[in-house]
Amino acid sequence: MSRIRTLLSHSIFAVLGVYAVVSLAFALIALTPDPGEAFLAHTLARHGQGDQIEAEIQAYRAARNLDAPVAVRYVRWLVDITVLDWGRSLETGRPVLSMVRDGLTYTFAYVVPGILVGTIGGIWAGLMSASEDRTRSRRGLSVLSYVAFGVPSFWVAAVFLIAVAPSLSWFPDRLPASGPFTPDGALFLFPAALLVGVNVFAGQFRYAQSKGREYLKADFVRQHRAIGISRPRVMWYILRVAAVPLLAVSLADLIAILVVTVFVVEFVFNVPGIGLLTYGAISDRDMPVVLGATMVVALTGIGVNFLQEVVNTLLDPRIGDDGGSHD
Amino acid sequence: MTDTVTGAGADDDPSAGNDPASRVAWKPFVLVVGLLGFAALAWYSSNVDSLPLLGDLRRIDFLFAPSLFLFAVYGVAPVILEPGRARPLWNYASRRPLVAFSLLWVAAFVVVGLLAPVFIDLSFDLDATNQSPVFTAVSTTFTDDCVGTAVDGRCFGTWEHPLGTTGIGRDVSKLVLYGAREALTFATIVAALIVPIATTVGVVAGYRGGWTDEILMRIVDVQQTLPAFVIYLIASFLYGESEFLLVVVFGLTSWGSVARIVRNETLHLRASEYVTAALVVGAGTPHILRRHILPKLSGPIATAVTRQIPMLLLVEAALSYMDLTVVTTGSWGRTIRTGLVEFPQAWWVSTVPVVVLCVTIVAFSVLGDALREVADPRLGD
Repeated sequence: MSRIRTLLSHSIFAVLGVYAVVSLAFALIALTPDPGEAFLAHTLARHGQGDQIEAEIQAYRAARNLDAPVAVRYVRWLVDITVLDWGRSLETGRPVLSMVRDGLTYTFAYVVPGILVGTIGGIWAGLMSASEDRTRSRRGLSVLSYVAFGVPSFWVAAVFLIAVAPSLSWFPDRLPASGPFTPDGALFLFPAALLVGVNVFAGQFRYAQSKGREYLKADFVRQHRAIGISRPRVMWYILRVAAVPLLAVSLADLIAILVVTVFVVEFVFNVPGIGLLTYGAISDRDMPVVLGATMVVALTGIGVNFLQEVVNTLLDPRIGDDGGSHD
Repeated sequence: MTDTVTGAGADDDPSAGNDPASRVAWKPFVLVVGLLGFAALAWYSSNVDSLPLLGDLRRIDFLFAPSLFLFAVYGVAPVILEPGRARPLWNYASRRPLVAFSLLWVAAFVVVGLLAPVFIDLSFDLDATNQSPVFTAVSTTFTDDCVGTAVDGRCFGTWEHPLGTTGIGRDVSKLVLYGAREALTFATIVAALIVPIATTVGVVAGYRGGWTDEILMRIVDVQQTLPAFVIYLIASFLYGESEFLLVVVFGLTSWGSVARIVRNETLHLRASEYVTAALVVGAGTPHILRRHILPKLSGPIATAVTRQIPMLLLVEAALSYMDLTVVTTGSWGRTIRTGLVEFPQAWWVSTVPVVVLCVTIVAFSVLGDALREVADPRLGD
C-alpha cells in the first residue's frame, strides 16, 4: 500500500468509526425505554390525571418525532448529528452543542497544558533514566513513577482542597466567573492541570523507559556511541526512532487515564468542564446532554487516533509496507 | 494474582515447545466439568435445598466462582504441576527486592481476598468511634469514648484497633482486609472476561492477517476511544447501578490493549521458522494454533492482564468515590470516601485504604513489568 492509500483507509475507518458511535448512541435511545415518558406518566399520576397518561405520552412522542418509524428516525438522527443539530437539554433547554462547547473550553484549559508537560517531561525523563548508568537513581525514578500512578488522584485533589488550599493565599476559593483564560481562572485550574500532568507523566515515563532500554541495545546506538557521538545526540536519534511505538502504545491508555482523571478532577475541584457536565446530566437524567457529552469523548478519541495514524505515516518511512503495525 | 505467573517461562522451558498434547487436552475438560458442577450445585442450592456455603452467595459470586476456577485451571495448576515454568520469574525476583515484595504482596492480596469474608465480620461498635491508630492520639472531644488511655485531653490508640476505627466504630484494619475481597472479585471477573475475548480477537487478527486483521484492529481502535468508564456511566444511567453491571461492562470493553498485544505476538510467532516448518510438513491451522501459537501466548497475556489490573482498581475506586457504584461496605473506594468526610481529624480512615490501594497498584505494576522482562526475550539483560 502506498502512503496515500494508507491515509485514505485510515480516514475512511475514522469516519466509519464516528458513525458507528453515532449509531450506537441512537440504538441506546431507540431500544431502551425513554426516561422522559416514565417521568411524564409519574407526574400525571401523582396529580390525579392518570386517565390522560396515554394521550399525553402520544403528544410527547409526537413532539419529539418518536412516532415515526425507527428507520426514518435513524436517518433523521444521522442527518441531525452531521449538520451539528444535537438537540436541547431537557433540564436547561439550552442547545447541547453549546453546553458541550462551554464544557470543553474549561476542560481543554487545564488538560492541554497538563498533557503537554506530562508527555514531554515523561518521555524525556524516561529516556534519560533508561540511558542512566547509575541504576540507583534509575530505580528511584521508577518507584516514584509507579507511586505517582498508584495514588488515586481524587484523594490527592480532595486532600489538597481540604487541608492545603485554605492556607494558600493565592488559591481562589471558587472558580472565577471571568472564565478559564484569566489570571484568576488559571490559578484555580493550576492544581487540576498539575494532577493531569502527573498522571500523564507517570504513564509516559514507564513506556519511554522500557522503549529506551530496548533501543539502547540496538546496533545503531552502539555504533553511534562507538564513534563518539555525544549522549544527547544519541538520545535524540533514539527519540526519533522510538516516537512511533511510543505514540502507538501509549495513546489508548492515555485516553483511558485522561477520561477518568478529567471526571474525577472536575468532580472534586468543581470545574464546569465536560466531565462535570456529563456527571450532572446523568444525575439529572438529561439524555440529550449525556449523549452529546459521550459522543464528544468518543469523537475526540477517534480524532486523536486518526491524527496519530497520520503522524505515524509521516514519521515512519516503513509504513505503507506493513500497514503500520508496531509494538 | 499468583496465577498470572503462568507460562512466564514458557520460552525457557524445554517442555513448552514440544508440548505433549495431553497437557493441552485436560484443561478444557476440567474447566467444562468444573463449571457444569458449579452450575448444578448452584441450581440445587437455590431451587431444591440450601447448601451450607452456596446458600448466601451474592449475585456477583456466580461470576466470581467460575472466574476463580478458570484461573485455577489455566493459571495456578500448570505452575504447581510444572514448577519449572515459573523458575525464571523466581530467579528474576530473587535478585530484585522490589519485585520479590510485589510478588509476596500480590500473593497475600489473593489469599486475604479469598479468606477475608470467612474470618472477618464487619460489625460496628458505637462504643469505639473514631479511635486513632496505635501510637497516635486524637482529641477526646472528637471521639466520644476512648478505648485506650486518655492523657491531657488526648485519646491514644490501642492494639485493640491497631489502625483506628471509623465514625461508627468499624475497625479500619478489618475494613481494609475485607476491601481486598471486593478488589479481588472485581479484578478476577474482569480479567476472566478479558482473557478469552482478547485472545480470540488477537489470534484471529494476527493469524489470518490481511483484511481480517485490518478490520478487527480498527474495531479495537474505535472501541478503545470509548473507555469502559464512560460506557459504564451510560449503562448505569439506563439500567441502574449494580456491581454486576460494573464487572460486565469493564470486562466486555477493556480487552482492546490486550488483544493488540496478542495480535502482535501472534504475528511474530506466525512468521517464526518452526511455524513455517510445521506448515511445510502439512500441519493444519488448528494444530499450529494449539501446539505452536497458543502455548507461547500465555506469557504475553499474563503480562498484559497484570498490567491492566492497576488501571481497573483505580477506576473502580474513582467510581466509588464519585458515588457511581453500588459498593458494598468494605470496598476500598467506599472507605476512602467515608474517610474524606472527616478528613483532617479522622485522617487514618481514608489514608490507610489509600496506602493499601496504592501499594497493591504498585505491586501489580512492578509485577507486570517484571513478567514482561522475564517473558519477552527481546528485553532480556
